[in-house]
Amino acid sequence: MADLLTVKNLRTCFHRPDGIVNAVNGISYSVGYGETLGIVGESGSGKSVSVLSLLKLLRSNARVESGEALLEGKDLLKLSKEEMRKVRGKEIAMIFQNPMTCLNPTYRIGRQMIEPLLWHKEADRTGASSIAVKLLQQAGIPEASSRFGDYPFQFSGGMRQRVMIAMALTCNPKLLIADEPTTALDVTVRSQILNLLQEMKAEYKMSVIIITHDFGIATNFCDKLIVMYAGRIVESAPTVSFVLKPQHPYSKGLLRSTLDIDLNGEKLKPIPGNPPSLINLPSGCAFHPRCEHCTEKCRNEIPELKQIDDQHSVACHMLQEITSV
Amino acid sequence: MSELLVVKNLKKYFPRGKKSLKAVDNVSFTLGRGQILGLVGESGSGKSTLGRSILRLIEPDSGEIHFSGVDLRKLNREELRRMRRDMQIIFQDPLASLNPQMSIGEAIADPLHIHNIGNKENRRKKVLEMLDIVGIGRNFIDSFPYEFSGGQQQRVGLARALISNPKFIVCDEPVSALDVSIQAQIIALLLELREKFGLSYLFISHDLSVVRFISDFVAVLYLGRIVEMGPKEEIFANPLHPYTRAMIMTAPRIPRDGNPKKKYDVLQGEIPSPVDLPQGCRFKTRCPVYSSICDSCDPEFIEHRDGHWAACHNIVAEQKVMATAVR
Amino acid sequence: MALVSGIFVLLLVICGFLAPVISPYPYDEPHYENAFQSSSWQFIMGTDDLGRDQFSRLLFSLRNALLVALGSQLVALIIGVALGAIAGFRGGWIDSAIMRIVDIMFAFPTFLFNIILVTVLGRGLFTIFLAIGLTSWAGIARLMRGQIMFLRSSEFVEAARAIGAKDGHIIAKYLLPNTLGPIIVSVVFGIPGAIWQESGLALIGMGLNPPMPSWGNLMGAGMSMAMGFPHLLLWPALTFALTLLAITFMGDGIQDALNPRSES
Repeated sequence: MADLLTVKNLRTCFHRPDGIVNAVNGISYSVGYGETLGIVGESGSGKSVSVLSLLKLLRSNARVESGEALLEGKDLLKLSKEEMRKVRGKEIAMIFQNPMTCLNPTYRIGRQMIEPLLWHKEADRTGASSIAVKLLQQAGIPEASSRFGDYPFQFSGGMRQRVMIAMALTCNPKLLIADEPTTALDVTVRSQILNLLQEMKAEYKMSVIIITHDFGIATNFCDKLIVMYAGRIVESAPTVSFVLKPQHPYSKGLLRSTLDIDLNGEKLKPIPGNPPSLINLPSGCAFHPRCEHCTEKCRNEIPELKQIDDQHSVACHMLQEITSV
Repeated sequence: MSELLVVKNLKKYFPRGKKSLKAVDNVSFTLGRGQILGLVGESGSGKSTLGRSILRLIEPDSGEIHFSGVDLRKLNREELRRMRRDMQIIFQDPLASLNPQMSIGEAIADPLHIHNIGNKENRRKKVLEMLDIVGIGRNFIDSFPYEFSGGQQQRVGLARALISNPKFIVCDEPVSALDVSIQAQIIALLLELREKFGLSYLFISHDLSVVRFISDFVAVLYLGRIVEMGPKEEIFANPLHPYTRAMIMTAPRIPRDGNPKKKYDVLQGEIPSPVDLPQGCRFKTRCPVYSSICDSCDPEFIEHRDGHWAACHNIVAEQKVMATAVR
Repeated sequence: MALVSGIFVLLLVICGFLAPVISPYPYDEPHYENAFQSSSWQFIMGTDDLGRDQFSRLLFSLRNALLVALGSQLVALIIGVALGAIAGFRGGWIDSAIMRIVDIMFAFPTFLFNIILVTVLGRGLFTIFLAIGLTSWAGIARLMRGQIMFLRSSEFVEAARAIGAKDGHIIAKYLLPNTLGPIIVSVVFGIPGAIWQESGLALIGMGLNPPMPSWGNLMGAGMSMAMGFPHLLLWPALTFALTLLAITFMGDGIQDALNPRSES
């Protein structure tokens, strides 16, 4: 069966006075129907920019230089502003990291929730309100019908994120993109939100892209992962395969740096050095200055993504050596 | 044994109209030389306020703080100021904690100026040594904070805290704002420095995994009160308080056995507002082992096992009930 | 725009300071035989009723204007920064007291006050500095206080306290250097105002003593003779307007440059 979303060779740059920032450097991936894709990376990896490019939500000095993003055959990157507006909220919905700043503090949440329904002409006012209340209930907001008339400040952080999720689902989108949805929330609230996303995904038969730097979340919640570094994909694999056999030195380094609550006494082996500047990317493989397996080839040639196993791809010159280690 | 830091019955309430926000509500603990106490709490637990109250950056309302045998609360402004050489702090937002108009060399040397340590030549030398110790190139000594990455800024903060040779550092969520790979570097650095200089830390964090890794002892803070405290391994092997258990059980873990967990255990219920604490136990609104006694009185903080303290009415009954209650 | 204005202002400043050197004639030298002439090669901007060269007089008035502007702003700066910093740092009743005085200054008819001061202290460059300075410090004080209060609660100031810094050290090294930006901008924007005030005083005869020229008295004289000899009003008014405009644009540019958050 064809995929819901296929991204090919996406390239996005920012034109700043001090130089061109290569935020996304040619990435390709796909999301199947009902599948959850995790995009994992640290700051500067380009993970957020890559999805904002799909929805044309970038700043004015950003430019999608090349690539295509096919949503059921339709290239999102070639849509006009008007056509894009019809896609946003209706076919693709997005939730962001900080629910506090994403909700308009001066409007009641009910009003904010029915807006997409009214814009996309999915329902009239009454119909929209009842859809919204039902969604609030499903999202776990107690006394949904009375809370429908509340303002954002009357909700706690976790509750606000639930409202955001409910809002995103009002028009029954095919794809939900969640950019660090739990990072700003308390630890005990995170699991609640993740469970909610799982339930909603099953109920509304959506595909989900979740962007995160947290492996704990990515490896449990997602069906497959892509790891980004300096605007490129360095590894792409089904989650189980990734967890059992991570290949790329960066992925391995990240996994080793991630402190697991169950593991103790293991010596911490941080990745040395700092993430690269996106204006002055290192030559060849962007990770080479920090890699213990670095060779001359790594310094000169950018590695391509090569498939090594069933759907498991890695972009690294030193694959042979590493897999045998 | 003389402990380095002894905190007794520390309280800090912030008035909010007629009510008060009980940020720190009767906190007591001790910390020895070279030890790391990990303080875990979520937002609203009062952990930042506690860290600052111990240093009297926020003035506590009542309680005792004995540092190196000195009662901090009895010191006047000048004596306290001089005491600061020995007790330092590093912050969550490393960029915000640095003066944008001062080069990092000036910032790191400032404590030496303030306390009249050394003269111009050997101050510069000390700064360069500090840069080596924290892992920043010497050539950056005249650069400004905005020129550095988050991890490097935090290293500068550390250098500034270390240069006056303190015995104790409050680490207020020092790695929460940093990338994962950089977090690991900073944590490794903190441990290295502890070994090298015999430092003690109060390590404040909301991240259980980090706390587990770095601490010797752990204290769990909930709405201004310590609900459980003890040696790290004991706490993680046998958590007594339902909140601690819930936090440990609900933390997402990498499924290294290849079996991802599709549905997480969660803690039900809502956290009460710190201004409007409920009667009895403050955790009762979310507690899986709540019973009627939890409405009537605040549980006492008792030593259950050697060095392992907890405040809960229902600890004995817990073992069996927890498994079913946390869904 | 700001850059062009900046260059223009720079040129003016240079001209102003070099006035005694570059002006073709001394400002008070009469040429009775050439009185009331309009622009010619000999007298670029024409002459006035006593045959004095307008161009030279303008140059000198530019110089005086700049002196007054800078001098008065300096007075305003010293008073405003001091009072504002004290109010912002100390808070409490000191803050309230100082802010009430600031409020009064804002409500005061400054021009009237200037007239009174000049009457009392006598006319002359220095007293004009003082008069204008004494009435324009309020804006700077309020700005300074706001800045200090905001910075006081920032984390790097807390960090300074944590390493044991004394209040004086905090004000000198942590607070003041971070307030420079907005203060500089405020001073630059205050210059046109100061020049305006001085000219106003001169217009009503309370400014600098004649024959010392000032824009104000040039324009004043020009107004009364405008019907017959427009050049006597035209040149001073035109240059006045352009100068003030240029300074304002320059100030705008400085404000944008110093504000790290403003993105084009």
